[in-house]
Amino acid sequence: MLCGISLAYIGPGPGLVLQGPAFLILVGCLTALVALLTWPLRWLLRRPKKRRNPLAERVVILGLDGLEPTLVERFMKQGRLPNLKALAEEGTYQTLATTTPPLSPVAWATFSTGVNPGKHGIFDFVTRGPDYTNRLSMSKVENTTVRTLRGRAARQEPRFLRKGKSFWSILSEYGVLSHIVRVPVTWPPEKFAGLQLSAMGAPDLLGTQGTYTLFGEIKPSCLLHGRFQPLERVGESLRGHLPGPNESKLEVQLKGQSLILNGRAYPLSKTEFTPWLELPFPKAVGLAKFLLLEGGRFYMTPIQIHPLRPATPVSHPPGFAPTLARLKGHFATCGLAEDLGARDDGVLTREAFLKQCYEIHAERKRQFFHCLHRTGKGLCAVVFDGPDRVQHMTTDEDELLELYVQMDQLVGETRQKLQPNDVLFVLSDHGFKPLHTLIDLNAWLYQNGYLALCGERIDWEKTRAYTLGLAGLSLNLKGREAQGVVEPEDASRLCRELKEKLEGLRHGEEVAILKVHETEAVYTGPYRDQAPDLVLGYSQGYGVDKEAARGSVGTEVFQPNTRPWVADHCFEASEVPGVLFSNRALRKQASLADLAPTLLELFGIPAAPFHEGRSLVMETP
Amino acid sequence: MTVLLAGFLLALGWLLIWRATTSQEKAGTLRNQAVAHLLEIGLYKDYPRPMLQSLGCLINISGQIMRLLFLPSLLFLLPALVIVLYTRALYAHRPVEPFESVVFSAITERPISLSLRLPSEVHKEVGPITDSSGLRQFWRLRAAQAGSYVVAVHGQGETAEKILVVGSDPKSLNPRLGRSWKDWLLRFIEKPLPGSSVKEIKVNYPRRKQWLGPYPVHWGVELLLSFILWLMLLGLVERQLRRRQGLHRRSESTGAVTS
Repeated sequence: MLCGISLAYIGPGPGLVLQGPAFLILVGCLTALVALLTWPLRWLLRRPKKRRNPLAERVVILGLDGLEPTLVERFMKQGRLPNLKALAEEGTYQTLATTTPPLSPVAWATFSTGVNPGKHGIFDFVTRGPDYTNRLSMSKVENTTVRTLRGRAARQEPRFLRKGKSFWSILSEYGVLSHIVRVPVTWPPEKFAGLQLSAMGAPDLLGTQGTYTLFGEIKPSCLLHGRFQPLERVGESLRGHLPGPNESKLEVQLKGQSLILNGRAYPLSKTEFTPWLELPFPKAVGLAKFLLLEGGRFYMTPIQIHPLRPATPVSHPPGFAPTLARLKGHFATCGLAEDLGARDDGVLTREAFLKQCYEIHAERKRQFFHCLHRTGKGLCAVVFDGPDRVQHMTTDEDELLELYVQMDQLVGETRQKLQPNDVLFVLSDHGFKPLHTLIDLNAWLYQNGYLALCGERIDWEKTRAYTLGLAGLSLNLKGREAQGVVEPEDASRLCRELKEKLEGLRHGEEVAILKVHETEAVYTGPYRDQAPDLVLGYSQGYGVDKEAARGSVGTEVFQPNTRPWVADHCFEASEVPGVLFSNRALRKQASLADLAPTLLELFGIPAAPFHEGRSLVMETP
Repeated sequence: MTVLLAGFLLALGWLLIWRATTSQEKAGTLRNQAVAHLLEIGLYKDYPRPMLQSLGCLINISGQIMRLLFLPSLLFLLPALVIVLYTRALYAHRPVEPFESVVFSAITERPISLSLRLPSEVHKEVGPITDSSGLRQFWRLRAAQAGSYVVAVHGQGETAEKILVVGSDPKSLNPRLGRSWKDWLLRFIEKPLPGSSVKEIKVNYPRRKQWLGPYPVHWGVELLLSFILWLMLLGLVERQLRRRQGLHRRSESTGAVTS
């Protein structure tokens, strides 16, 4: 301004730099003003339904995936979990009945929708394809065509496979703001008048559910969950490629303890992960952390979709993830962010794995508290996966105590931020038990004449039943499977026969399979036919062999579990209930399906006719 | 060109002082937070309470950015002032065109009669006209062809000279010649007036205008355009820096880096 008319062009100089903050405020105020002025119009267009007698202004849900009731009770008695104990004394503590099977995607889908799997269509991590292949049960990528300026173009679109209506969608119809942060089975993100950050189901940049990369000179004998990238020795350094999406790749080099990536050196450590490093592939940017391993090898996490420039949306609205990234730092976007696979393959040590889990926990904590701060009225729901991931990999008492103490501290910090009329729920979708023996159900089917082999491959024309996934057993049904042999009229009889033989299956003195559920008995709803024909309820300590879950057939039915994956929750549902804490008194005998109607009642919204649970609220308006 | 150079010098000087005196990591974090709060206003457009919360945060962050800018601004104030003043003094006006009239005036210490001695190419149209105080006298002049002409103002046996520039854009020019210290400092392209009875000589050159094709551009539009250019350059510079520094920088600026 000082320079007058003709000197206005003295810029880009300090004057303009000084005007930057003023410009920001101006744009912010203008945006807010426009939003406020148009708010009545948008309100009229949306016309939120009217709520009656809400009991709470704000509800906070803290999901701690896999928190085990027996451990919680023991540590509470020992006085190690003061915040959870105080919460129980203030309101409620009880076990929370989980789903059949007690798997996270199934359980959290029931939590979200308030219905059994027969109505939301998620029965396992994977679902049965007609060609006997595993398919992800939560989402799939479809080829579609979109209109562009140059005509129609082929495009791949993710499609959400969970059916049913989530309680946050219902809340948004009534004008209640919801922050849904990392609740499993939320990718691709749902469109509703709230904010959602996707979790379990969200892929990595390669489109998988999390594929780590091991770089080294010598290929290890077996990597079940990851990929190996060879390094070549050139002088004093090791060189190789980092493959990205669509056959793109970046050059990597290990020189001493430095990783040279895209021309810049980063120090690598054997004890500390690097910060999130950007991987600029030609068509998409990813994020990954690196860790130096023994013997000139190094580990790279699954390549995360970059939250600032996501190749595919990982939040709703799409700007939510970039906002969180700018405010709280980069974060893991992959659904299964904690790398269970690398630990199970022995690539990560237990210490490194725990470090990774707690780093992700810290990221999520920052996001949660930010969202909680923004939820003056409404719902803030977050799920911390850490307890599940850690408990899969350790049964060490001290490490478990450390985990539970961390969760207790999280609860304590959350309680401090609550207002007097706020309602807090702390819950887990299932519990946890040690896993000492693996069962290869396909081997049992083979030994009992239900499954036939042709060489090393399954002979589908002679196979009557097979297993895919973690808890289900399917018949090779004519008309459903590509090479089905079981007539539909024989299906019930065969199911009963298998149930009789498998229920109570013994391993030495112990019962290995506690119950076998026929689908009709446990599920109701329009998607029941997508379920496995039988759902197995394993006894504590017994679980499915991962190789069998992928469709392979071994030689031994029972094998001792020697893998780092030392605990699990895929047992009979009654063996692994979750926990439910609240600062309000609640009705007893709660189940996951009760949460949706409970939340709706707290906000003064009637439960939907399709809801199967009951409200746990004891207060009358 | 000189204006652009001045702008470039200012920007460069500012950048150096800014980088030397301010934590770039903190600045990056603040910038990220500001953008995030701006995004948040859009995210919460249907919920006034969190939206106003975000606006409050944005104002707070902007205040922090201003505080961060305070020291480099203070340090840069003097050199910036000098460059701006010089540029304004020398380039804010344009020369008259051939056959375009221009008002030529002189101020004296006491009412005296003045006459002009003009070169043959410059013609007097009107004048002298004296104002009511008798201290200021005006002439209207016109030159037939481009060039720099010395116009001599004569009175009581003393002569003062002033250069009249015609049609030689984009030269720097001096619209006013006086005896004060400011004239000594800023009008160095002409010899200052001697200690005569003429206190000041002024040529009412037209204001310089920026043109976009056939249309004159308002200074406000220029300001806006330069702002857009600044934002574009920032993006370009950042991209270059990121390319040069590898991939680390964004992580640092979002506060995600610990090592």
